[in-house]
Amino acid sequence: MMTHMVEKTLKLFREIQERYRQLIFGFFCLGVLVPAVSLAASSEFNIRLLVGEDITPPSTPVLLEVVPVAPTQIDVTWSVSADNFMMGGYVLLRDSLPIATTTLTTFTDTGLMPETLYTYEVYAFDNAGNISTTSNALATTTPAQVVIIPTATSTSTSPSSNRVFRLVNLDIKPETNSALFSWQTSLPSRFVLRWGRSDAYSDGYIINDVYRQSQQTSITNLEPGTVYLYELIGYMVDGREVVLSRGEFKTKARENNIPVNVFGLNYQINGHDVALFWSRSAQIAEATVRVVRNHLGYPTDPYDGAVVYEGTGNQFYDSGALEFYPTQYYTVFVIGNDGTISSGAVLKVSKSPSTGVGEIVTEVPEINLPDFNFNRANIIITQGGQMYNFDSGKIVLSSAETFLISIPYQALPRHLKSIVATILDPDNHRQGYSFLLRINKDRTAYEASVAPFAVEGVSRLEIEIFDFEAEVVGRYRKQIEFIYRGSSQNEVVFPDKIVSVFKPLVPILGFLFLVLLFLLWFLFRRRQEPEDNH
Amino acid sequence: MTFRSFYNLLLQSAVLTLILCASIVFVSAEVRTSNNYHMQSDSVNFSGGLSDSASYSLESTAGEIATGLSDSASYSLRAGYQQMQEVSISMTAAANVVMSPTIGGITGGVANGSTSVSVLTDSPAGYQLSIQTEDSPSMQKDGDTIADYVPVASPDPDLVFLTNPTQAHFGFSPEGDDIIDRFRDNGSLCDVGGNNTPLVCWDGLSISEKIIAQGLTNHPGGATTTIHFRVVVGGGVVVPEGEYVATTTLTAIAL
Repeated sequence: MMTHMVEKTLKLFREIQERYRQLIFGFFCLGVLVPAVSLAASSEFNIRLLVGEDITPPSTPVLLEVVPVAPTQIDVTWSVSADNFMMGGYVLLRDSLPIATTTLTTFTDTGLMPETLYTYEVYAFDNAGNISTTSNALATTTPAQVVIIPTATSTSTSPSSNRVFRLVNLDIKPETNSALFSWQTSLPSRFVLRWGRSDAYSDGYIINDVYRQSQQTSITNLEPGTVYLYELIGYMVDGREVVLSRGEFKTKARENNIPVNVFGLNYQINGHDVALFWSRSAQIAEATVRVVRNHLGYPTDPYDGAVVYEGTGNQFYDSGALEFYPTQYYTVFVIGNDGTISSGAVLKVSKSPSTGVGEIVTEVPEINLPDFNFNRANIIITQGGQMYNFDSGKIVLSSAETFLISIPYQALPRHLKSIVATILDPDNHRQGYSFLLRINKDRTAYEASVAPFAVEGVSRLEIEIFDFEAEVVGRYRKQIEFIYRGSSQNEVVFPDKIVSVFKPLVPILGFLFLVLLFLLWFLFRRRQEPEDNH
Repeated sequence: MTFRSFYNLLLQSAVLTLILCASIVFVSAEVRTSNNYHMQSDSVNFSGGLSDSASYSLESTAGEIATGLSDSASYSLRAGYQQMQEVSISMTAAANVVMSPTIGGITGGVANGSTSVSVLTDSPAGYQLSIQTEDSPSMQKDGDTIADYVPVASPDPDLVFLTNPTQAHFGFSPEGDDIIDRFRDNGSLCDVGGNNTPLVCWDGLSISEKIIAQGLTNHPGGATTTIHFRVVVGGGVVVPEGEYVATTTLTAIAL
């Protein structure tokens, strides 16, 4: 009976395979091919060259409008011109005299006389020096100057327009050393912006004489992390003065955190040349990297040797680096946007097989720092508020977060040259990545900020302390386990996963089942009909 | 219809439905998403092992289910089986180039132009950037052409653009941190040394792809490559006047 059922089932599968081979093959191909696409990006562009003399002038622009915004200002707008090859710009004429050359199609003409008629024209020119014919002329008269005694109200009604003059919106974007003010008013106005650390607003001011409804200005030379008071005054076209806004803003504090180091620093030797390459985490994606080389020992600061590379790349080819010296020491510093510098990722490159940092070739014993009261508990690992030291029990770190290695400044004698931390790749224990520990800004500790490996597994951290002769005088090791904490609470465990995947598909499954049932019934009927007829 | 036929019909429908749904699941590149994580691709396997033949090697596995892509503001983690198979790559659009200045058809001259692109990828193996043109020669105008530059030092590029007075050529020179060794120089030769000197190591465009840059790591912040173009028309050659256009494509692929 059992054999019969198995045979029946196999027969059924063979039948399905025969009958729906193309359908199944199609699904299979779709499943295989879809993930393999979209791994490329392309951009098409044209390169144009004109041979011969360009004697074709641009088309003539059309002067669209001249608006007397204020007794001293007229806003002019014109249309775009086209050129056969490359546009140059526009020249704006006031009363037949050129007053501006611009690539834009608007111009704010200021410093005019009230109650005066002005006539404007414009022409275009291309890069070859061809000029278009002059546009149509438009004329307008500036309004009369109205002198009104200033008031200190927050809104005012313009007698000319009977519209309320008020601040529509104000956006202040403080940065570390600057603040960007953007605002709109219900009517065109010019402004004065004053600021300071007291309500005397004595630190500075900006005066702008252009009447606009949308204004933007930037205050610079501010102190980081400081509260500033400001006063924004608008002046309407009729001369009325209105305090648009008073308030305060705080500049961003300067980041005290040193930038995280690059990770995965490695090299390849090609003759006398050395190719260095590294990776960077997203938080330093835009930061500048400086590579410093020294044949005597690891460069401990960005000036301790030859600066062989500075840029935003992730690799550098050091031509002839090993031509005169068999060994070169490299330190890769990350320079933050605020000028702070990472402790440095280090690499020793040697023509001969070496046991330098980064290359875990043979096991060497630990060395206790002699004649000094230094102990393993002085080596501290911090991650996300969690603190460990080399005397702690098991150290378990998140594989997805930056961690800080630090040693208190007082714990080490000052004459020691450098401290290098080497951490094994959890995926490959023959590969290690090394970092310098540098004294921090407050001179309280030697520190190195290490980017996440993003790999789970057991690793080992080794701290080596070098003297001025580049000899290791202290060596300490500790096993570290990296785990991925991010998804542990959200893992879907088999067979719950199957349920969770298919649960939303139940209605679709049912529908599909019915459709296929109908189709098969239909096909079955069609096959049966000839037999019945026969 | 007999009961047996109906039974077969039901069974066939059920099996086809399962095949269809399984295909949908496997085809989907984003099978699990929540507020906290996002799984790009995974597998629902029941057995595994290595299969080999003369022409292929297939590794299949069983039950890798609790892995996926995790994103936050500061990192992106793809953990586990198959998670690295899908990488992303994007490139900024290359701006059209207008060679400047215009060149006299009889007197000849030199015109230069350049465009830049930034390639952004999370591929741990990096990317490769190549360039190709639509036509051969690249610069064309109603049947008239300007020859693509052929380096004297071919297959290496020429350190300087060499054109004698009776020739007209169009060439390019890439610049950027990731340009390949072929376009690096030591001050006197290309494909030797590691210098990334602007406006040296000239080559000609081609309708087949030419690799100009290659990054060996991920580039979350983007890697910029600038391509300089140059046309030199010698004083002893007459190039018909008019506007010449080279339609060019830059392609970046994730490695």
